[in-house]
Amino acid sequence: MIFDEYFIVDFFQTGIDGIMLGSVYALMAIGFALIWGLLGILNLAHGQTVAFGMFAGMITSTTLNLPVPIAFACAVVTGVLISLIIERLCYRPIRRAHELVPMIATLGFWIATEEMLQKVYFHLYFHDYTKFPNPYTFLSLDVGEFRIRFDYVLTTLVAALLVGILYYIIYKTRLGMALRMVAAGHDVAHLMGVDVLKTLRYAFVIAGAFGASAGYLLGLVANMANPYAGSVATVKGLFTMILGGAGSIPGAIVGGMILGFMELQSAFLLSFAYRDAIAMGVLFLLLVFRPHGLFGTKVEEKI
Amino acid sequence: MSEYMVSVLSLICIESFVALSTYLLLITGQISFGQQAYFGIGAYIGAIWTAMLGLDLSTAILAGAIIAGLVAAGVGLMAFRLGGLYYAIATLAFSELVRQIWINLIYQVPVAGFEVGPKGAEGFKDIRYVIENDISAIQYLGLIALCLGIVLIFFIVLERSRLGLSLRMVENEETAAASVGINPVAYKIAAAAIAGAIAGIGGVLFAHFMTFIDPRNFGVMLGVHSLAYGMIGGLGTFLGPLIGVTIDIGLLESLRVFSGYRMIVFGSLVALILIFRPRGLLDEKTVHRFFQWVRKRLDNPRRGGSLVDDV
Repeated sequence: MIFDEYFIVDFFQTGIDGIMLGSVYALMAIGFALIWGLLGILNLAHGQTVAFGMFAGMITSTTLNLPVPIAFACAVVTGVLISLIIERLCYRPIRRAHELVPMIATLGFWIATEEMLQKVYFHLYFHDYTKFPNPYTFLSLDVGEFRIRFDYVLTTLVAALLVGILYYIIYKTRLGMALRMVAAGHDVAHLMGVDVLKTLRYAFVIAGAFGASAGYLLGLVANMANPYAGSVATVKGLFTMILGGAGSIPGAIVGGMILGFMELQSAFLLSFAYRDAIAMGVLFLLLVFRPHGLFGTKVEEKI
Repeated sequence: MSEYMVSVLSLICIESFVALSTYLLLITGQISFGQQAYFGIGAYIGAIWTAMLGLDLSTAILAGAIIAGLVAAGVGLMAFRLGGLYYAIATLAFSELVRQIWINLIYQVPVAGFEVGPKGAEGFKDIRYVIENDISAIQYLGLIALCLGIVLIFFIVLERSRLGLSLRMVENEETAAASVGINPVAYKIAAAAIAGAIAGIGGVLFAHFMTFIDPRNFGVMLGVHSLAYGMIGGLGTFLGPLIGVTIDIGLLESLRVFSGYRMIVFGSLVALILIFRPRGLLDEKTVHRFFQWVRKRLDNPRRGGSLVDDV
C-alpha cells in the first residue's frame, strides 16, 4: 500500500468494483436466504445451481456461439431444473424428519454433482472449451477519474433487475402473498388454503434462477468456468447470508455488497494473498460477537 | 494382505478420526462443518515436528493432538453460544481461515541439504519419517489402528459413563441438563477440545501416511464428508461414523466399477439412505433394540426372554 496522489482514486475505484462484485454475492445469498427463511433448512446444494448455471452458460456460448442473452437464459433454465431436482430429491421425501436430515441430503447432492462437474470440466478441458467467452473484456466506461468495467456494470444492472422482479413477486402477486404466508408458518398457511408444497416449489424455482444468474455472471466476469464454483458459492453465499442476518432478503443484498467491498478493499489495503483469510476472520468474529448478523437485533432465548 | 488393501485400510482408519471428531460434536448437539481445520493443524504440526525439527513420531502425535485440541478449545470457547446453523457456519469460517493460512504459509529450512517445509499452495513435501525409519506399510497401519483403538476405547468408556449421558442430555435438553446440575457450557467446550484433539491425531497420521500434504486436502469437502459419515452410519453409537467411512472408502473403493465415480455414487447414496432411514443405518432405536435383545438373551439364555417380560 502506497500513500501517493492516486491513493484516494484507487481507494474509491476498489470500493466501486467491490460493490459491483458484491451484487453477484447478493444474488447467491438470496437463494440461501429464501430457502432458509421459508423452510428453516440449509440448502447446501444451492451452490450447485451456481456452478451448473456457469457451466450451462459456458457450454452453450462456446459450442453453439449463442449471444449473451440467450446463453444467460439457458443458464437460468438449467439452474431452475437443478433446483427442482434438489427439491424433489432432498427436501420433499424427508421434509417431516429432523431439520438436519434434508441438510445432509443436500450435502450428498453437492458431493455427487461437484464430482460430475469435475468430470465434465476435464472432458471439456481437453477440447479447449473451458474459457468463458466475454465479449465485453475491453469495454469500460470512464466516469471522471474512475474507470468502470462494462461487465461489472452489466452484472450490477442484471442483479438490480432481478432483485426488482423478486420484490415485485413478493409484494404484488398472489404467489408472493403465499410465500409470505408460508414464511410465517407452514401450518397457518395450510389452514388459510395455501398449497404449501406448491409454493415451496416456486421458492426453489426462484432460488435456482437467482443462483444460475449469479453463476453466469461470475463466469463472465472471471472469464472462466470452474468446477469448484459450487463449493466457493456455498461458502461465500452462506457467509453473505449470515452477514446480513439469516433468512432476510434485504440483509442478503447488503451483505453481498459488504462482502465484495471488504474482499477487494482488504486485497488493496492489506494483502492480496490474505484477502480470503481476512474475509473469513472478520466473518468468524462477526458471528461470535453479533450472531444475528450486522442488522439482526433478535436474540433467541430458549427457556 | 496386498499393498493396496493396506493403503485402503489405512485411509479408512485415518478418515475415521475426522468422522469420530464430527460425531462427538454431533452428540452434544453442535453441527460442525469445520473439523478439517484441526485435521489440517495436526497434519502441519506433525509434519513440522518430524520433517523440520527432526523429532520422533510418537511425540508428534501427542503434539498434534494437544495443539489441535487447544485451538479447538479456543474456538469452542468463542462459539459455544451459537446454536445450530450459526455454529456450523462459524466453524466453517474458521476452517476456511486456517486453510487460507496454509495456502499462504511459506517457511522452509534446510534439512540435510534439502529445503523442507510448507511452501504455500504447493504444500508440504518430503515428510519422510516413515520411510527413513524403515516402518513398513503394515507396521504403520498397526500404529494407526493402535491410535484409533485408543480413541475407540475412549468412546466406549464415554458411552457407558455419566459423562456420555450428560453429553447426550446437553444435546437434547440443554435447559433441563442445566437444571440437574450439568454445566452445558463446560461440556460443550470440553467436547470441542476433545474432538479437535481426535482430528489432530488423524492429521498427524495422515501427513506421515501421504508423505506430502497440500492445503486442498483440508478443504470444506472433508468436513462435509465427515458429517455425512455420521449421518448415514447413524448417530446411535460411535460405530455409525465408522460404518459411514467404511461404506465410502472401503466399499466403493473395492468395487472397481465405481472407482472413478466414487463421489457421485457416494453422494447419491447419502441422499438415498436418508430418504429411507432418516436417522442413519444404525440409529438410536436400532441400537436400543439390539441391546434389549442381548440383555434378554443374557438374562435367560435358554428361553430367550425373562419371565418378568412375559407378564
